[in-house]
Amino acid sequence: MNLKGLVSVLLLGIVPAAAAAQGQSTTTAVTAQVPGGPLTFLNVQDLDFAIVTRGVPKTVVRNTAAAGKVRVAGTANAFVQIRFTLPAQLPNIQAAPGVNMPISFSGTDGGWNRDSDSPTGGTAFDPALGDDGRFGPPPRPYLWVYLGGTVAPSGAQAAGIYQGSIILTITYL
Amino acid sequence: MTKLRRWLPALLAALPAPALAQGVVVAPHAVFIDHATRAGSITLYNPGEEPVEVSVSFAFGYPTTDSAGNVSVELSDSTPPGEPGAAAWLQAFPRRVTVGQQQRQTIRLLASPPANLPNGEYWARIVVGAKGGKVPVVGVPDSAAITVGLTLEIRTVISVVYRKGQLTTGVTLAPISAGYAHDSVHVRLPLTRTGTAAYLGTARVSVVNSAGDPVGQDERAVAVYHALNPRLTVPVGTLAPGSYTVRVSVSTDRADLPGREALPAPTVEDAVEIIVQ
Repeated sequence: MNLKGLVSVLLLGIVPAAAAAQGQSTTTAVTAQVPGGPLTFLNVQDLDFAIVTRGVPKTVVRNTAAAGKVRVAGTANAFVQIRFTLPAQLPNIQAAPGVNMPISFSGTDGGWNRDSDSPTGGTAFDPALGDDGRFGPPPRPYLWVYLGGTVAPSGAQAAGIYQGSIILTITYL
Repeated sequence: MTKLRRWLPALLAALPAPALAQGVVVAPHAVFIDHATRAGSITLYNPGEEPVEVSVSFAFGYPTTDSAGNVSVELSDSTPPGEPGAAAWLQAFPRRVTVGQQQRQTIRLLASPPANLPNGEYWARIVVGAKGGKVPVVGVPDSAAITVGLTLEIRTVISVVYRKGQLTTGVTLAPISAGYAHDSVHVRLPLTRTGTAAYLGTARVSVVNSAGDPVGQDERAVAVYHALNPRLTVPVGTLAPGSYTVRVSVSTDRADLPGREALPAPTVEDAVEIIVQ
Protein backbone atom coordinates (compact mmCIF):
# COMPACT_ATOMS: atom_id res chain seq x y z
CA MET A 1 0.00 0.00 0.00
CA ASN A 2 1.36 3.42 -0.87
CA LEU A 3 1.05 6.53 1.20
CA LYS A 4 -2.19 7.43 -0.50
CA GLY A 5 -3.57 4.10 0.53
CA LEU A 6 -2.40 4.64 4.06
CA VAL A 7 -4.20 7.94 4.19
CA SER A 8 -7.27 6.15 2.93
CA VAL A 9 -6.98 3.69 5.78
CA LEU A 10 -6.69 6.52 8.23
CA LEU A 11 -9.71 8.31 6.86
CA LEU A 12 -11.82 5.23 6.52
CA GLY A 13 -10.97 3.39 9.68
CA ILE A 14 -9.62 5.69 12.31
CA VAL A 15 -11.20 9.06 11.93
CA PRO A 16 -14.88 8.41 12.34
CA ALA A 17 -15.81 11.87 13.46
CA ALA A 18 -13.87 13.52 10.70
CA ALA A 19 -15.12 11.10 8.08
CA ALA A 20 -18.67 11.58 9.18
CA ALA A 21 -18.31 15.28 8.99
CA GLN A 22 -16.90 15.27 5.50
CA GLY A 23 -18.88 15.25 2.31
CA GLN A 24 -20.01 12.01 0.83
CA SER A 25 -17.94 12.53 -2.28
CA THR A 26 -14.74 12.70 -0.27
CA THR A 27 -15.54 9.52 1.61
CA THR A 28 -16.29 7.69 -1.61
CA ALA A 29 -13.06 8.84 -3.15
CA VAL A 30 -10.84 7.57 -0.37
CA THR A 31 -12.79 4.33 -0.01
CA ALA A 32 -11.78 3.44 -3.52
CA GLN A 33 -8.11 3.55 -2.55
CA VAL A 34 -8.29 0.44 -0.39
CA PRO A 35 -10.20 -2.39 -2.04
CA GLY A 36 -11.35 -4.78 0.60
CA GLY A 37 -11.27 -2.15 3.29
CA PRO A 38 -9.32 -2.20 6.52
CA LEU A 39 -10.19 -3.67 9.86
CA THR A 40 -9.40 -1.32 12.69
CA PHE A 41 -9.15 -2.34 16.31
CA LEU A 42 -8.97 0.05 19.16
CA ASN A 43 -8.63 -1.27 22.67
CA VAL A 44 -10.50 1.61 24.18
CA GLN A 45 -10.56 0.37 27.74
CA ASP A 46 -9.11 -2.51 29.74
CA LEU A 47 -11.23 -4.60 32.06
CA ASP A 48 -10.56 -2.78 35.30
CA PHE A 49 -11.26 -4.41 38.66
CA ALA A 50 -10.02 -1.43 40.66
CA ILE A 51 -9.83 -2.23 44.40
CA VAL A 52 -9.62 -5.94 45.16
CA THR A 53 -10.15 -7.02 48.74
CA ARG A 54 -9.31 -10.41 50.24
CA GLY A 55 -12.30 -12.71 50.52
CA VAL A 56 -14.60 -10.39 48.58
CA PRO A 57 -15.49 -11.32 44.99
CA LYS A 58 -15.42 -8.34 42.70
CA THR A 59 -17.64 -8.16 39.64
CA VAL A 60 -17.36 -5.71 36.79
CA VAL A 61 -20.60 -5.58 34.83
CA ARG A 62 -20.20 -5.25 31.08
CA ASN A 63 -22.35 -2.15 30.79
CA THR A 64 -20.34 -0.15 33.29
CA ALA A 65 -17.40 2.16 32.86
CA ALA A 66 -14.95 -0.39 34.24
CA ALA A 67 -15.78 -3.03 31.63
CA GLY A 68 -13.38 -3.90 28.87
CA LYS A 69 -14.24 -2.18 25.64
CA VAL A 70 -12.98 -2.57 22.08
CA ARG A 71 -14.07 -0.73 19.01
CA VAL A 72 -13.75 -2.48 15.67
CA ALA A 73 -14.24 -0.67 12.39
CA GLY A 74 -14.83 -2.56 9.17
CA THR A 75 -17.07 -2.90 6.17
CA ALA A 76 -20.52 -1.44 6.77
CA ASN A 77 -23.17 -4.05 7.62
CA ALA A 78 -20.71 -6.93 7.33
CA PHE A 79 -21.02 -9.84 9.75
CA VAL A 80 -18.12 -10.97 11.91
CA GLN A 81 -17.52 -13.75 14.35
CA ILE A 82 -16.63 -12.68 17.89
CA ARG A 83 -14.67 -15.12 20.03
CA PHE A 84 -12.92 -14.73 23.37
CA THR A 85 -10.17 -16.87 24.83
CA LEU A 86 -10.55 -16.42 28.57
CA PRO A 87 -8.39 -17.31 31.55
CA ALA A 88 -9.76 -19.21 34.54
CA GLN A 89 -6.93 -18.23 36.85
CA LEU A 90 -4.75 -15.17 37.11
CA PRO A 91 -1.22 -16.06 38.25
CA ASN A 92 0.66 -13.96 40.76
CA ILE A 93 3.69 -12.84 38.81
CA GLN A 94 5.56 -11.94 41.98
CA ALA A 95 5.14 -15.29 43.68
CA ALA A 96 6.12 -18.86 43.01
CA PRO A 97 4.13 -20.65 40.30
CA GLY A 98 0.79 -21.92 41.52
CA VAL A 99 -0.33 -18.83 43.38
CA ASN A 100 -3.43 -17.82 41.46
CA MET A 101 -6.64 -15.83 41.73
CA PRO A 102 -9.78 -17.25 40.12
CA ILE A 103 -11.51 -15.21 37.46
CA SER A 104 -14.83 -16.13 35.88
CA PHE A 105 -17.24 -14.88 33.26
CA SER A 106 -20.99 -15.25 33.32
CA GLY A 107 -23.27 -16.00 30.38
CA THR A 108 -24.02 -12.30 29.95
CA ASP A 109 -20.59 -10.81 30.55
CA GLY A 110 -20.02 -10.37 26.83
CA GLY A 111 -21.81 -7.79 24.76
CA TRP A 112 -21.69 -6.09 21.41
CA ASN A 113 -23.40 -3.21 19.74
CA ARG A 114 -23.46 -1.85 16.24
CA ASP A 115 -22.83 1.70 15.27
CA SER A 116 -22.74 3.42 18.64
CA ASP A 117 -20.99 2.97 21.96
CA SER A 118 -23.97 1.94 24.04
CA PRO A 119 -23.46 -1.24 26.03
CA THR A 120 -26.89 -1.07 27.66
CA GLY A 121 -28.56 -1.31 24.25
CA GLY A 122 -26.34 -4.01 22.87
CA THR A 123 -26.62 -7.75 22.54
CA ALA A 124 -25.47 -9.80 25.51
CA PHE A 125 -23.69 -13.09 24.96
CA ASP A 126 -21.70 -15.69 26.78
CA PRO A 127 -18.05 -14.77 26.19
CA ALA A 128 -17.08 -18.41 26.57
CA LEU A 129 -19.19 -19.22 23.51
CA GLY A 130 -18.86 -16.05 21.47
CA ASP A 131 -21.39 -14.59 19.10
CA ASP A 132 -21.83 -13.23 15.61
CA GLY A 133 -21.78 -9.45 15.43
CA ARG A 134 -22.41 -6.95 12.71
CA PHE A 135 -20.84 -3.66 11.78
CA GLY A 136 -23.06 -0.64 11.74
CA PRO A 137 -24.42 0.93 8.57
CA PRO A 138 -22.71 3.87 6.86
CA PRO A 139 -21.37 6.27 7.91
CA ARG A 140 -20.55 4.50 11.19
CA PRO A 141 -19.42 0.97 10.31
CA TYR A 142 -18.45 0.14 13.89
CA LEU A 143 -18.79 -2.79 16.19
CA TRP A 144 -18.33 -2.25 19.90
CA VAL A 145 -17.43 -5.28 22.02
CA TYR A 146 -17.73 -5.27 25.82
CA LEU A 147 -16.53 -7.64 28.49
CA GLY A 148 -17.19 -7.89 32.20
CA GLY A 149 -16.07 -10.51 34.68
CA THR A 150 -15.58 -11.52 38.29
CA VAL A 151 -12.44 -12.11 40.31
CA ALA A 152 -12.68 -14.07 43.54
CA PRO A 153 -9.74 -13.46 45.86
CA SER A 154 -9.66 -15.87 48.77
CA GLY A 155 -9.53 -14.77 52.37
CA ALA A 156 -5.87 -15.69 52.40
CA GLN A 157 -5.00 -14.40 48.96
CA ALA A 158 -1.29 -13.65 48.74
CA ALA A 159 -0.27 -10.10 48.08
CA GLY A 160 1.17 -9.19 44.72
CA ILE A 161 0.32 -8.53 41.12
CA TYR A 162 -2.05 -10.93 39.38
CA GLN A 163 -1.96 -10.79 35.62
CA GLY A 164 -3.64 -12.62 32.80
CA SER A 165 -4.40 -12.32 29.12
CA ILE A 166 -7.66 -12.20 27.23
CA ILE A 167 -7.71 -12.83 23.50
CA LEU A 168 -10.44 -11.34 21.35
CA THR A 169 -10.63 -12.88 17.89
CA ILE A 170 -12.62 -11.19 15.15
CA THR A 171 -13.20 -13.15 11.94
CA TYR A 172 -14.89 -11.83 8.84
CA LEU A 173 -17.72 -14.13 7.83
CA MET B 1 2.28 12.10 -3.26
CA THR B 2 4.22 15.12 -1.98
CA LYS B 3 0.98 16.70 -0.88
CA LEU B 4 -0.05 13.53 0.87
CA ARG B 5 3.21 13.40 2.79
CA ARG B 6 2.54 16.95 3.85
CA TRP B 7 -1.00 16.15 4.93
CA LEU B 8 -0.17 13.03 6.86
CA PRO B 9 1.14 14.73 10.03
CA ALA B 10 -1.87 17.01 10.11
CA LEU B 11 -4.16 14.05 9.61
CA LEU B 12 -2.53 12.15 12.45
CA ALA B 13 -2.76 15.18 14.68
CA ALA B 14 -6.47 15.41 13.93
CA LEU B 15 -7.21 11.92 15.19
CA PRO B 16 -9.89 11.95 17.88
CA ALA B 17 -8.97 10.91 21.38
CA PRO B 18 -10.24 7.31 21.13
CA ALA B 19 -7.91 6.74 18.19
CA LEU B 20 -4.97 7.22 20.50
CA ALA B 21 -5.82 4.03 22.39
CA GLN B 22 -3.97 0.81 21.66
CA GLY B 23 -4.99 -0.53 18.31
CA VAL B 24 -4.01 -1.67 14.87
CA VAL B 25 -5.31 -1.34 11.35
CA VAL B 26 -5.20 -4.39 9.08
CA ALA B 27 -5.82 -3.92 5.37
CA PRO B 28 -7.22 -5.39 3.26
CA HIS B 29 -9.60 -7.90 4.88
CA ALA B 30 -9.18 -10.48 2.11
CA VAL B 31 -6.05 -11.41 0.18
CA PHE B 32 -5.98 -12.97 -3.28
CA ILE B 33 -2.75 -14.50 -4.55
CA ASP B 34 -2.27 -15.58 -8.13
CA HIS B 35 -0.08 -18.52 -9.08
CA ALA B 36 1.82 -16.31 -11.52
CA THR B 37 3.08 -13.95 -8.81
CA ARG B 38 2.84 -16.22 -5.77
CA ALA B 39 3.00 -13.18 -3.52
CA GLY B 40 0.74 -10.76 -1.74
CA SER B 41 0.84 -8.38 1.18
CA ILE B 42 -1.12 -6.86 4.00
CA THR B 43 -0.51 -3.52 5.61
CA LEU B 44 -0.58 -2.80 9.31
CA TYR B 45 -0.82 0.58 10.92
CA ASN B 46 -0.54 1.45 14.59
CA PRO B 47 -2.48 4.64 15.32
CA GLY B 48 -1.71 4.52 19.03
CA GLU B 49 0.80 6.09 21.35
CA GLU B 50 2.38 2.81 22.39
CA PRO B 51 4.20 0.18 20.32
CA VAL B 52 2.14 -2.82 19.34
CA GLU B 53 3.57 -6.33 19.08
CA VAL B 54 2.18 -8.06 16.03
CA SER B 55 2.39 -11.73 15.09
CA VAL B 56 1.26 -13.27 11.81
CA SER B 57 0.37 -16.92 11.38
CA PHE B 58 -1.73 -19.11 9.10
CA ALA B 59 -4.56 -21.53 9.72
CA PHE B 60 -7.22 -23.33 7.75
CA GLY B 61 -10.92 -22.60 7.91
CA TYR B 62 -13.93 -21.38 5.98
CA PRO B 63 -17.51 -20.41 6.81
CA THR B 64 -19.95 -23.18 7.64
CA THR B 65 -23.43 -23.17 9.15
CA ASP B 66 -24.99 -25.09 12.00
CA SER B 67 -28.50 -26.50 12.06
CA ALA B 68 -29.93 -23.13 13.06
CA GLY B 69 -28.24 -21.30 10.21
CA ASN B 70 -25.58 -19.59 12.30
CA VAL B 71 -22.41 -18.96 10.32
CA SER B 72 -19.02 -19.62 11.88
CA VAL B 73 -15.42 -20.19 10.91
CA GLU B 74 -13.60 -22.85 12.88
CA LEU B 75 -9.86 -22.63 12.51
CA SER B 76 -7.47 -25.56 12.52
CA ASP B 77 -3.70 -25.60 12.45
CA SER B 78 -3.65 -28.32 9.81
CA THR B 79 -5.69 -28.81 6.68
CA PRO B 80 -8.26 -31.62 6.94
CA PRO B 81 -7.82 -34.43 4.42
CA GLY B 82 -9.40 -33.68 1.07
CA GLU B 83 -9.52 -29.94 1.59
CA PRO B 84 -7.56 -27.55 -0.66
CA GLY B 85 -5.46 -25.93 2.02
CA ALA B 86 -2.72 -23.40 1.43
CA ALA B 87 -1.65 -22.68 4.99
CA ALA B 88 1.19 -25.20 4.93
CA TRP B 89 3.03 -23.47 2.11
CA LEU B 90 2.33 -19.82 2.84
CA GLN B 91 4.87 -17.72 4.66
CA ALA B 92 4.76 -14.22 6.12
CA PHE B 93 7.70 -11.85 6.32
CA PRO B 94 8.14 -10.76 9.01
CA ARG B 95 6.14 -13.13 11.21
CA ARG B 96 6.70 -11.04 14.31
CA VAL B 97 7.24 -7.32 14.43
CA THR B 98 6.80 -4.41 16.75
CA VAL B 99 4.97 -1.60 15.04
CA GLY B 100 5.91 1.69 16.58
CA GLN B 101 3.49 4.42 17.44
CA GLN B 102 1.85 5.86 14.35
CA GLN B 103 3.97 3.65 12.15
CA ARG B 104 2.99 1.28 9.40
CA GLN B 105 4.38 -2.10 8.46
CA THR B 106 3.97 -4.15 5.32
CA ILE B 107 3.76 -7.92 5.76
CA ARG B 108 4.84 -9.79 2.65
CA LEU B 109 3.08 -13.05 1.90
CA LEU B 110 4.96 -15.59 -0.18
CA ALA B 111 3.64 -18.89 -1.47
CA SER B 112 5.76 -21.96 -2.10
CA PRO B 113 3.25 -24.47 -3.42
CA PRO B 114 4.21 -28.00 -4.41
CA ALA B 115 5.66 -28.27 -7.90
CA ASN B 116 2.83 -30.47 -9.11
CA LEU B 117 0.02 -28.36 -7.68
CA PRO B 118 -3.10 -28.99 -9.79
CA ASN B 119 -5.10 -26.09 -11.12
CA GLY B 120 -7.61 -24.92 -8.58
CA GLU B 121 -8.25 -22.66 -5.64
CA TYR B 122 -6.51 -23.12 -2.29
CA TRP B 123 -7.63 -21.59 0.98
CA ALA B 124 -6.12 -20.36 4.21
CA ARG B 125 -6.70 -17.78 6.91
CA ILE B 126 -4.23 -15.21 8.16
CA VAL B 127 -4.27 -14.63 11.88
CA VAL B 128 -2.89 -11.24 12.85
CA GLY B 129 -2.40 -10.94 16.58
CA ALA B 130 -1.73 -7.57 18.20
CA LYS B 131 -1.09 -6.62 21.76
CA GLY B 132 0.37 -3.65 23.53
CA GLY B 133 4.11 -3.47 23.90
CA LYS B 134 3.88 -3.28 27.66
CA VAL B 135 1.59 -4.96 30.14
CA PRO B 136 -0.62 -2.48 31.92
CA VAL B 137 -1.48 -3.20 35.52
CA VAL B 138 -4.87 -1.82 36.29
CA GLY B 139 -6.64 -1.70 39.59
CA VAL B 140 -5.83 0.03 42.82
CA PRO B 141 -4.04 -1.98 45.47
CA ASP B 142 -5.85 -2.47 48.76
CA SER B 143 -4.07 -2.23 52.05
CA ALA B 144 -2.46 -5.63 51.46
CA ALA B 145 -1.33 -4.69 47.95
CA ILE B 146 -3.32 -7.01 45.73
CA THR B 147 -3.51 -5.73 42.17
CA VAL B 148 -5.07 -7.27 39.10
CA GLY B 149 -3.94 -6.66 35.54
CA LEU B 150 -5.51 -8.00 32.38
CA THR B 151 -4.01 -7.57 28.95
CA LEU B 152 -6.01 -7.85 25.80
CA GLU B 153 -4.65 -9.39 22.65
CA ILE B 154 -6.75 -8.79 19.57
CA ARG B 155 -6.61 -11.22 16.70
CA THR B 156 -7.85 -10.45 13.24
CA VAL B 157 -8.65 -13.38 10.98
CA ILE B 158 -8.84 -12.67 7.28
CA SER B 159 -9.06 -14.97 4.30
CA VAL B 160 -6.38 -15.87 1.79
CA VAL B 161 -7.27 -17.32 -1.58
CA TYR B 162 -4.59 -18.78 -3.83
CA ARG B 163 -5.62 -19.33 -7.43
CA LYS B 164 -4.00 -21.37 -10.16
CA GLY B 165 -5.38 -21.70 -13.67
CA GLN B 166 -8.74 -20.77 -15.10
CA LEU B 167 -11.38 -21.15 -12.44
CA THR B 168 -15.14 -21.04 -12.42
CA THR B 169 -17.71 -20.70 -9.72
CA GLY B 170 -21.44 -20.75 -9.28
CA VAL B 171 -24.07 -21.57 -6.75
CA THR B 172 -27.34 -23.43 -6.66
CA LEU B 173 -30.15 -22.35 -4.39
CA ALA B 174 -32.47 -25.04 -3.11
CA PRO B 175 -36.01 -23.94 -2.25
CA ILE B 176 -35.83 -21.34 0.47
CA SER B 177 -37.92 -21.44 3.63
CA ALA B 178 -39.14 -18.53 5.70
CA GLY B 179 -41.12 -17.76 8.82
CA TYR B 180 -42.27 -14.80 10.86
CA ALA B 181 -41.45 -14.48 14.55
CA HIS B 182 -40.43 -11.79 16.99
CA ASP B 183 -41.10 -8.92 14.56
CA SER B 184 -38.72 -10.39 12.01
CA VAL B 185 -38.86 -12.62 8.97
CA HIS B 186 -36.32 -15.43 9.18
CA VAL B 187 -35.15 -16.94 5.91
CA ARG B 188 -32.98 -19.97 5.24
CA LEU B 189 -30.89 -20.11 2.07
CA PRO B 190 -29.60 -23.59 1.20
CA LEU B 191 -26.64 -22.81 -1.05
CA THR B 192 -24.34 -25.29 -2.76
CA ARG B 193 -21.30 -24.21 -4.68
CA THR B 194 -20.57 -25.35 -8.21
CA GLY B 195 -17.43 -24.94 -10.30
CA THR B 196 -13.82 -24.97 -9.12
CA ALA B 197 -13.60 -21.93 -6.85
CA ALA B 198 -15.35 -20.51 -3.82
CA TYR B 199 -18.45 -18.47 -4.49
CA LEU B 200 -18.15 -14.95 -3.11
CA GLY B 201 -21.35 -12.99 -3.36
CA THR B 202 -24.16 -11.13 -1.71
CA ALA B 203 -27.54 -12.50 -0.65
CA ARG B 204 -30.41 -10.04 -0.70
CA VAL B 205 -33.79 -10.62 0.91
CA SER B 206 -36.89 -8.52 0.50
CA VAL B 207 -40.33 -8.95 2.01
CA VAL B 208 -43.38 -7.49 0.27
CA ASN B 209 -47.03 -7.52 1.23
CA SER B 210 -49.91 -8.66 -0.97
CA ALA B 211 -50.09 -5.19 -2.52
CA GLY B 212 -46.46 -5.40 -3.55
CA ASP B 213 -45.28 -2.86 -1.03
CA PRO B 214 -41.92 -3.61 0.62
CA VAL B 215 -42.08 -4.17 4.37
CA GLY B 216 -38.46 -5.11 4.94
CA GLN B 217 -35.18 -5.97 3.31
CA ASP B 218 -31.64 -6.90 4.19
CA GLU B 219 -28.49 -8.31 2.68
CA ARG B 220 -25.30 -10.03 3.74
CA ALA B 221 -22.11 -11.18 2.12
CA VAL B 222 -21.89 -14.91 1.57
CA ALA B 223 -18.83 -17.04 0.95
CA VAL B 224 -19.79 -20.53 -0.17
CA TYR B 225 -16.73 -22.77 -0.12
CA HIS B 226 -18.69 -26.02 -0.34
CA ALA B 227 -22.19 -25.55 1.05
CA LEU B 228 -23.84 -22.99 3.27
CA ASN B 229 -27.34 -22.71 4.67
CA PRO B 230 -27.39 -19.34 6.43
CA ARG B 231 -30.30 -17.78 8.23
CA LEU B 232 -31.04 -14.17 7.38
CA THR B 233 -33.18 -12.13 9.71
CA VAL B 234 -35.13 -9.23 8.26
CA PRO B 235 -36.67 -6.87 10.84
CA VAL B 236 -40.19 -6.02 9.71
CA GLY B 237 -41.93 -4.94 12.88
CA THR B 238 -45.47 -6.07 13.63
CA LEU B 239 -47.08 -7.41 10.47
CA ALA B 240 -50.78 -7.25 9.86
CA PRO B 241 -52.41 -10.60 9.16
CA GLY B 242 -52.15 -11.55 5.52
CA SER B 243 -49.94 -12.97 2.84
CA TYR B 244 -46.38 -11.83 2.26
CA THR B 245 -43.80 -12.79 -0.34
CA VAL B 246 -40.16 -13.32 0.60
CA ARG B 247 -37.80 -12.88 -2.34
CA VAL B 248 -34.16 -13.91 -2.33
CA SER B 249 -31.47 -13.00 -4.83
CA VAL B 250 -27.87 -14.18 -4.64
CA SER B 251 -25.32 -12.56 -6.94
CA THR B 252 -21.57 -12.15 -7.15
CA ASP B 253 -21.40 -8.42 -6.65
CA ARG B 254 -19.40 -7.62 -3.55
CA ALA B 255 -18.90 -3.98 -2.72
CA ASP B 256 -16.14 -4.82 -0.27
CA LEU B 257 -13.96 -6.73 -2.75
CA PRO B 258 -12.15 -5.63 -5.89
CA GLY B 259 -14.40 -6.39 -8.84
CA ARG B 260 -12.10 -8.90 -10.48
CA GLU B 261 -11.62 -10.98 -7.34
CA ALA B 262 -15.20 -12.18 -6.96
CA LEU B 263 -15.49 -14.57 -9.90
CA PRO B 264 -18.60 -13.98 -12.02
CA ALA B 265 -21.54 -16.36 -11.92
CA PRO B 266 -25.23 -16.21 -12.84
CA THR B 267 -27.58 -14.73 -10.27
CA VAL B 268 -29.88 -17.20 -8.56
CA GLU B 269 -33.28 -16.28 -7.17
CA ASP B 270 -36.18 -17.81 -5.33
CA ALA B 271 -39.33 -16.71 -3.55
CA VAL B 272 -41.71 -18.13 -0.99
CA GLU B 273 -45.00 -17.01 0.45
CA ILE B 274 -45.64 -16.74 4.16
CA ILE B 275 -48.96 -16.28 5.90
CA VAL B 276 -49.20 -14.12 9.01
CA GLN B 277 -52.21 -15.04 11.12
